[in-house]
Amino acid sequence: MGIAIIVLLLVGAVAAWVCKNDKTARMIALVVTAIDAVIAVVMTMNVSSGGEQVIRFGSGFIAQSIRIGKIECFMACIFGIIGFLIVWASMSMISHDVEKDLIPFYYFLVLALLGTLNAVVFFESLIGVFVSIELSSFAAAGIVIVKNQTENVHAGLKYLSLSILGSSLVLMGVVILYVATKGLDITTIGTAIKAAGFMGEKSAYVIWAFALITSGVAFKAALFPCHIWLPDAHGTAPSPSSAILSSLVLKAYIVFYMKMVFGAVGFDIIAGSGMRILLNVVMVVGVVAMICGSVLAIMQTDIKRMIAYSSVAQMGYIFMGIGLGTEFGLFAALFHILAHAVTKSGLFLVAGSIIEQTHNRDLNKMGGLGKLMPITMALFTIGGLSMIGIPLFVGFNSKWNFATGIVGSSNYWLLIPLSISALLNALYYLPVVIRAFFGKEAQEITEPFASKERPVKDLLPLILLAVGVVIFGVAAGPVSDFLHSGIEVLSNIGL
Amino acid sequence: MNIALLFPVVFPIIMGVLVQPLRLHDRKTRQIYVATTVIINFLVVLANAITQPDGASMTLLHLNRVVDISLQIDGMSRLISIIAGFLWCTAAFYSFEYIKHEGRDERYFTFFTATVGVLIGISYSANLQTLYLFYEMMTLITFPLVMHSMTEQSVKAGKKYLIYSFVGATIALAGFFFLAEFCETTNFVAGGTLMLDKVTGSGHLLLFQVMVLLTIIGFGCKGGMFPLHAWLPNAHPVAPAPASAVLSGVITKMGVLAIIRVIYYMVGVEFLRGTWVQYVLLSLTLYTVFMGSMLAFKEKLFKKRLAYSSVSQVSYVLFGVMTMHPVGFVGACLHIVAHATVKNILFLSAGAIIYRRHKTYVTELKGIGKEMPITLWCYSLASIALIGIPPTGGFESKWFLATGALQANIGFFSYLGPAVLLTSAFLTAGYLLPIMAKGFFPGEDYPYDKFQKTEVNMYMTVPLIILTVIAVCSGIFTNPLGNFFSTIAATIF
Repeated sequence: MGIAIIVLLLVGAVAAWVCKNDKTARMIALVVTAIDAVIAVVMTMNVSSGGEQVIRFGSGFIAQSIRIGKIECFMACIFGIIGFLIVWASMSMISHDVEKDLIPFYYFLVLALLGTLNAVVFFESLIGVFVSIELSSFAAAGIVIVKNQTENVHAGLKYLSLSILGSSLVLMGVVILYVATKGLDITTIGTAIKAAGFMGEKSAYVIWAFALITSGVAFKAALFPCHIWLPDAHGTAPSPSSAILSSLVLKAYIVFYMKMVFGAVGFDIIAGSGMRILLNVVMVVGVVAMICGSVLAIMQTDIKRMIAYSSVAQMGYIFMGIGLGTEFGLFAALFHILAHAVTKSGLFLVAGSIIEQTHNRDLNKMGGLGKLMPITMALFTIGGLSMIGIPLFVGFNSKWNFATGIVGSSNYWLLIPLSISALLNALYYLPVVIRAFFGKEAQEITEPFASKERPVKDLLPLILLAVGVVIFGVAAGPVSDFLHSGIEVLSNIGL
Repeated sequence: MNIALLFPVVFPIIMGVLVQPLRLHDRKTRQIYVATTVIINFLVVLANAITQPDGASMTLLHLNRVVDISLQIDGMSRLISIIAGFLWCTAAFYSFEYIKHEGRDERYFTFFTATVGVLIGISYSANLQTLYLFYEMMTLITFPLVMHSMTEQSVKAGKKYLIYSFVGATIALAGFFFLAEFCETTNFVAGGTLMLDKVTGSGHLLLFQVMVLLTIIGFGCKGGMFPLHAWLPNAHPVAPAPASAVLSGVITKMGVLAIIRVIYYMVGVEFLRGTWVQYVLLSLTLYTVFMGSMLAFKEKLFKKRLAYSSVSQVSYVLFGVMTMHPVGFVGACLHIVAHATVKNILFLSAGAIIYRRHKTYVTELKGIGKEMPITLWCYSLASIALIGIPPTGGFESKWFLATGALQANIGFFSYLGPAVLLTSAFLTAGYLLPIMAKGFFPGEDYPYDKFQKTEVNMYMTVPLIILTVIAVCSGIFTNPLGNFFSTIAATIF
């Protein structure tokens, strides 16, 4: 079924492009992502009842394999369902940002991007992963550039070049691993690394390889200070693109990294080898990202750039969780992938709605917006409160998981940055909310009272995302169980 | 599902949220609506307190496999929920008249009505995460009350309030993660559930003590405890008077309640008694008591003086809590009652004076007792109660606080504590009584022949009188209250 998802999305992409008609392209995109979401859910049910699905094809050096376990299903569901909601929301928004002629091409890029992201996560063989990473980079840069403004072209090129730099670093790491282990897929590499004595003899190879992979992924997933492309790309892209880029694209590379670190190397070896030092670095850099991303976000006046910098901070959380190197740290990071995907996509779409309706991106001029766009601003409030970590929203569960991971692994000092970062989040999300509901400026401009709200049918996907924020905030038990069992499977790769 | 527990939490919140959508533009309808809400809510709270057995509980949600949101009733929840429910009724009636002078009625009643639900939620919380949830909600829902007038000053105060509250709550949350790790459960169990072996075994005893201290300081923010007190003198006075009254009288007590929950229901007194943490906390509270009184003494703005007085008086309560002795604890509970009623009266009478005479500075209040006799009589009796002159409620509570301090095994603080409390009582007299004296006896240059009686109407005087009767009588009929608090103390020591 994994192949079905990838093929479906890629075929859909081509179909959207060749139809040359913007209405048809939209319909194709909507239908294809909907089917993708359904397949992903069905696949998840199959995997959780029937175990992993493995598909092999090709032979010799280019032999490829796809392995779909619970983590992969989890990601497929995020890509499928959130991707569908974003595409749905884009139906009414995209013509604001993208010229009519380019819309078929836009949906080609979006569907191709979703397909390749799924491939990044599904492939077990590193060649397949690498090809998917490269393709997804082009598609991702494409959905930034497609807006066809000078700043987008600049941002897109910056993104593309740093992205390719990242992929090259990953490739170099993979080559070193191949030299050391003679394996080109995660299972083989895992078997070799987990074999007795290997980490004694060849630990230097492995650690250098992982250092290169880490730095490559840092570029791809915008880990501070390799984030410099992100605010430009996410800030200038059409809003649905920003939502896809921050909530889905970054995550695919992180999951690949998690599979490498915790699948191929495993918790036991990490605890007792030089990998621990590498992960400590990841952890510290993650902490720096948490703080710096938020500080930079506070300094922004453009709503989309602010949300983009907030992503930098949130990536820091995820890398900190990975850096803990424990099962609970990994669980917290995985859960945060979900939390961030649901929340941030909603926030970007809300920001897009605000910009579309008021033609204003300046945060200081959003006073009184709560009166003009009550539903939109209520959705923003939910997203903001979740980011701050107020209970009943998914962000609190995430914060709780990170804290439990931190206390459980005795890295107590990390509670300080965790708390400071939550406060910093409050410092940039709350003023927007306060100004919107208690400020005056926008009201004065549009007196007498004129609602600027978008029709509810257009807002529906945004509302569903907000519902997701609440559902995963008040009932995260089942997802947590699923992830915990997935992590168990992951850590046994190659044994 | 014990709906009776959920009702007083959810009902006011829903009713509050509905104030604007229902478009209750007519003042009369709106008043009936709000009055019914708070009265029904108070009756339900009262019924719960009487009929529900100790430990009656309900689980609302499981946020994840570990964290659940649950409500529960025990002695402390009865006390705090009744105080909140009742004072909300008096403040609501008072608001009906007062808010005419502030405007934006619908917005005011939205947040005012909803707040009481959140406060009942805090008092009913069965575990620390539920308390934290309602605690954050309380911050978010009360800050519109603080910046109600939307003047530059009040917006600034509102922001300061938000920042301090979030800093406090975040610090507390960081400590909470530790408590969750080292206590058997995050539920509030009388006497605490700390696993001492695990703490000492982990070799992080000092760190754990620091985290407990930080949790208490973090929650102390709402109670105006040094070092996170600075928002209070800014935020309380700028709010409309009935909001200031409940902010000072009731909401500060939520910080106290949270601290009581941490000390007596999670960590347990055994762990803290006699450690440096206790001494640090005692010093902080005594310093706050003294500092608050001094600043109130110096302050010329009437409502700000009352706010500084709250800083000082809430730390009386906290001092009683920190003695970690049953008598001191009973004193703290008595002072919760005394201060809640008295501070409401003081703020409401200050509001009445502002409403009628637009006088905000204490120096302008000469002869106010001639013009508004009922208001100033209530103010005077309340002042006497706060100073602690027998037979008012304030005397009883301070008596228990002082004897508790003397009996507790806290070394030097056994004597320093009562000394500071006594000094502060003198200062309290010094900053409250001159207003009464000058109000009733304005001196020779007062135009005795020309003054007009400008007493406020029934909406404002009746709540004042009821509260004054309670403040005075709670000292005379103190036995039932004292016995009730002793039963609480018996469970946690």
